[in-house]
Amino acid sequence: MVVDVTAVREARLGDKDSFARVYQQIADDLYRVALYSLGNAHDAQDVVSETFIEAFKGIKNLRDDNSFRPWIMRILSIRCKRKIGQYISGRNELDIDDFLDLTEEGEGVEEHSTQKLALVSALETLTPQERQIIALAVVQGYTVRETAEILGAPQGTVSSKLHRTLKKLRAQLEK
Amino acid sequence: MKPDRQEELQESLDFLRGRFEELNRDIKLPHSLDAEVLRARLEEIEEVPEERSGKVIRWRAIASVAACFVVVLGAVWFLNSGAAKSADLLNGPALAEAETAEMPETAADMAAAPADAPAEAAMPMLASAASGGAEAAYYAADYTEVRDTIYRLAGDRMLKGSFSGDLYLADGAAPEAGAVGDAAPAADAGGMIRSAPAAFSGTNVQEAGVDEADIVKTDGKYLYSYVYQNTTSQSPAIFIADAQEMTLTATIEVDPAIDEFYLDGDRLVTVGYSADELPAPKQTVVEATDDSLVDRSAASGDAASWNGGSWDGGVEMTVYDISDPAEPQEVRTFRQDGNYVSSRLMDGTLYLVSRKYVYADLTDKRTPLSDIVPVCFESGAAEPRLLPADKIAIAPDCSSADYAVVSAVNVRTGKSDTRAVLGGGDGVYMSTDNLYVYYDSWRGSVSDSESYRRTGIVKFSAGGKLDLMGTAWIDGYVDGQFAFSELDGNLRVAATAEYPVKGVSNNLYVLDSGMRQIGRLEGLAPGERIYSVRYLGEMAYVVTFRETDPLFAIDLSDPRAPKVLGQLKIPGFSEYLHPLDDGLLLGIGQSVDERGTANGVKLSMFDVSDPLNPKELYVYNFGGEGVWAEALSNHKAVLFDEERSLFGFAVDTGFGRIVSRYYVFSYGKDADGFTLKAKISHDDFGPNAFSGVNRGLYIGNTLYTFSPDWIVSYDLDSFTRKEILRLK
Repeated sequence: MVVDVTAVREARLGDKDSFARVYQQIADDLYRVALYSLGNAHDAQDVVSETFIEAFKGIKNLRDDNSFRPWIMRILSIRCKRKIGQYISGRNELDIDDFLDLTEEGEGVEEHSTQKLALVSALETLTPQERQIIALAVVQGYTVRETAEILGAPQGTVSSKLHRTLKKLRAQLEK
Repeated sequence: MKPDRQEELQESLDFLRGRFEELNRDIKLPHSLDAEVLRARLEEIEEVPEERSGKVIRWRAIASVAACFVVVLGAVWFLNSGAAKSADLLNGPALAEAETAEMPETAADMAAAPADAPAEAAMPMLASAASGGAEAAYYAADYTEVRDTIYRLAGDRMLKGSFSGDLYLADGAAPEAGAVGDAAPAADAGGMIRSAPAAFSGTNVQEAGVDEADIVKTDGKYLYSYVYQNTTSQSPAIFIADAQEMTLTATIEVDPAIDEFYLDGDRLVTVGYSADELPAPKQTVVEATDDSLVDRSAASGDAASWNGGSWDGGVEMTVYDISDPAEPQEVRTFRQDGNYVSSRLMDGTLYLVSRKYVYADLTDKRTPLSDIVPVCFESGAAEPRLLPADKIAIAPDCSSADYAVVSAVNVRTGKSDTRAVLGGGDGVYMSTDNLYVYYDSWRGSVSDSESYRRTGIVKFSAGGKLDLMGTAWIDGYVDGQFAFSELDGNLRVAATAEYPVKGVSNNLYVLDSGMRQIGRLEGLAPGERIYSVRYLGEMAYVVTFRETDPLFAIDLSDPRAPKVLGQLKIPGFSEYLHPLDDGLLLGIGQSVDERGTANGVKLSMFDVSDPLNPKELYVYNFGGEGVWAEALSNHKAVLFDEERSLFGFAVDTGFGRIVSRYYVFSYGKDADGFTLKAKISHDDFGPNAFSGVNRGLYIGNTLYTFSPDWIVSYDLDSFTRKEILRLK
């Protein structure tokens, strides 16, 4: 959803309702990135609600109202990174149930489910850091440069990691 | 990025976006994250001070949300002896007896592992752990065996066709087989400590004598700081500064970037990821092996539609001569396949560990051998070389087509010795004698007595020549390098395991030099997982946590019989444990609020002088939300000065914009615990994105603090500021 710049300004000036409104506009994106990065709904919820609070407390530091979205994405990414840093090394656990809405009914759902399952299984072979890059560059559609800025990582590293991770994913999906 | 690669990237992105769209439709924002719900929390927010002042809390045995500190001492407990189960030990605070533990008779056995056995003699069969009863690791006979093992492992995720990439084929000669010389130990003492007039701090390493890389180092005369980016920099660089004069001496540009570096005498060694395209040795899989797979796939009608592969990038080591720090000279580089896992430096030899994943169509005649076999490339060599089959070990019971690639490279001569283990690598622990690579392995379904996760451990000798000494499996996963410790040839490992019926529990194993299990302690703190471990001689201290935790003291003086001596329940948990003097242990961790959320930074001082009764003497808390420290997940971020009883590390605070300051504490049992001596910020010199302090070190009486833009020095007694150096 597009972010309402006027609302950002009002939020920056302290209006809680405006902040809530702006948050609503990017909440889905935040949750999605967190879920892909961390692999489970519980941690993703923690991180998103922490980001909500942190962004509210820090929004007076926002320099450009038009950059609200990457700004809050950066806060989220740092929180995700810290959480990942606390995961036991090598842990790639993905909670599949958190990714699939299993109540869906309808035609062709069987086939869809298989495809989705394949994607989720493929995601399971990635590290949380790799999934974080995928969440930003593939799911959210940020460019390599934007992704690098959000993650605070060198562009070359992000580019190579992305390249490698895409290759890894495709290898599993194109069987 | 080359244009072909750019195109390839775009193609992949488009393909994957389509697949993700489906999945995204299923992802719904949970109700708890709806704007109205979260909006309500805004009302609770008051202005919170950035940190609360430290509180001094005397010893108490606590309640509610607590962590578990486990002190493990030697135990009496044989594998098959049917001795008292550990469950009994957990119920009471102490053991009935504290017998003198005797060194086991296997002292002689333990010395047996020959460090200088001829490496490539007929495939050595090596001992492996008793658990699992698996066969031993062995070097492959030829590439066919490697290929077949990969085929078996990767079987159902083998791909038919991959997207196009660059394959730069070297013209001419076939890759040379065989190793390029042995790693010889450095002739001169080299090492970290030059003949500097004053004592200076080194990186906070796990094992004395085994150096670990970091982003700042000193040799007592110069300061070296790696800065990825700052206000004026054009590229990542290592700044070299004269510590006395506080002037900039030289800058080494490291493009594209490195991860971390070492100092070794008059050499500076960087380690990091390298994405440079490299020529691949020309041999293909089918050329190097037999045709059986290809014939089979042709017979079954599988199409081979492979377009090419590309160098996935690897880890690169670069050596600089800094005998004249004003004129650093690049001397050589060494590259190996795989993602950087970790490294160590000891006695002039760099031990480099990376992890290589295999994605290849083994049935395609065009698949290059370098897609399935690790490759190394030294500067000065004509071309990269493939690792010969007899240096590729196949780990027993391995379940994934990943390699741990391990090289020992002599910093001065450049001679290297490389091995690979098919089975994977997640991390490294190195003692002064041996290098252990460990990897995590999952099983979807297990019997009641098996754990879902296991850790494979591969042992290499580390004395100038890499030799595969043995492998073992243990139940559970490990918290990181500190979960391991070698003493008198025995390896102690602490792990968290999860069983179908028993649930989660924590175990401690003792493996002898042949990697056989000779002692264990199981069922510690059921329901919790290990957050930190520290071994001090024959003692192990383990912190576990879930909602309620004790701290355990475990005795390992008899390696065959680890036993719990004492436990303590405390709030919060420690992520990192460090010995202070006088039977004191420092814990750096977090507090936990009523809801069970971890936040803030918490310092604990434990008194473990009486292991039967460990106590938490003092606590220092940094505020709640918005406070974090790199020290929570990186032990190298902490500076210790045992002589002055000081330690320091950087703490991040703030919302939206993070401020990093360096906190220095003095500690003392009789001095009321922790005293904050200094809170150092570089924002005074111009607040911006690059003034966050991240490291500190000392030379003589001076403390140097580092941020991307600055190095600022302070007097270590009065903490008055001395000099400022801008890095540009």
